[in-house]
Amino acid sequence: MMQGNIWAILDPQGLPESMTLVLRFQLQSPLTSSNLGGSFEQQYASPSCQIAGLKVLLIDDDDINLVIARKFLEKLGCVVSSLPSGSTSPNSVGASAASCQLVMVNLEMVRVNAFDVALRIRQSRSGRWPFVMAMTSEHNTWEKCAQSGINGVLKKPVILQELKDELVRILQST
Amino acid sequence: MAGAALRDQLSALLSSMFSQGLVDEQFEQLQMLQDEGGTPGFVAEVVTLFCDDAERIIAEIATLLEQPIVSFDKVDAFVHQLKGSSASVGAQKVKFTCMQFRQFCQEKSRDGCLMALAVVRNEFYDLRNKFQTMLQLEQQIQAYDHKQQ
Repeated sequence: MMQGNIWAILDPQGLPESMTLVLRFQLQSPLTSSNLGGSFEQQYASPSCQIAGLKVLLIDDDDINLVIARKFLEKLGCVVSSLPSGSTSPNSVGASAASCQLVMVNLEMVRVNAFDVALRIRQSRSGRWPFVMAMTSEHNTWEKCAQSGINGVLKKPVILQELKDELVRILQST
Repeated sequence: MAGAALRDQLSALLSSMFSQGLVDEQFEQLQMLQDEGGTPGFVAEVVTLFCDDAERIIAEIATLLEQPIVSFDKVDAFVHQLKGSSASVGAQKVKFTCMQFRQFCQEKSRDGCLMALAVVRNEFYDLRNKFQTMLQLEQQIQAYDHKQQ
């Protein structure tokens, strides 16, 4: 009815580490107890402030995508780094990802399984960071993405406004 | 040639590229980013990458289609790649032609694919010519502006 899905991600002992519920509707801004009647503008820090200075790691083997995504992110005020193509071994990814707040990964890379990378990042992270955002030209990848610990999905070709909206949504969702 | 005349030429070229459907809003977005960010060379970089990429992919597809037994999966993969990069750059006509091309791959029709390849090649060369003219005009305009200072 709600076209949703729910599953648990298990830790090494087989105990549920986190539960995920996926529902297909637009999340509204979180309501705080103090102000249902007040203006929503005052409720949360300006989204652009949260994005500026964000450290982002780009993982993509497509040169054109890399150049464009980097440009968009820098326009939003992010600090962008990317992995040299071909160096997506677990160690290099883990090390680079550990110092970032957001990892953006292309789902359609040729030699690299993006879902593996996302899982590895999720498993090696401690705390809130980094978030993982996927870029894809396929439809209906939301569930598979969420199961790999991916926090957000962008359709390709990437559009600046959608990138910004998805970034804001991810940053506000915890 | 005076700066204003160069600018008019560039403006007219871009207008016609948009109105003929060669490029779409995605390309416009890239241009705006360049203008707003004050980073000349961004569009040139993306366009050059795209042209190099497309040339390489078209050559690969041509080779695959010459084989006695065609691997339509491989052809389709290349077409998909080209469709992706043309979409990223805003090369609308090339993108649409790729979409049609994929149909022929699904149908495993060598003749269909050869025809589609010819169309893609033509569309791409046409676009590449216009891109090259655009970049030349931009360089001339920059050179002219620089001399004026």
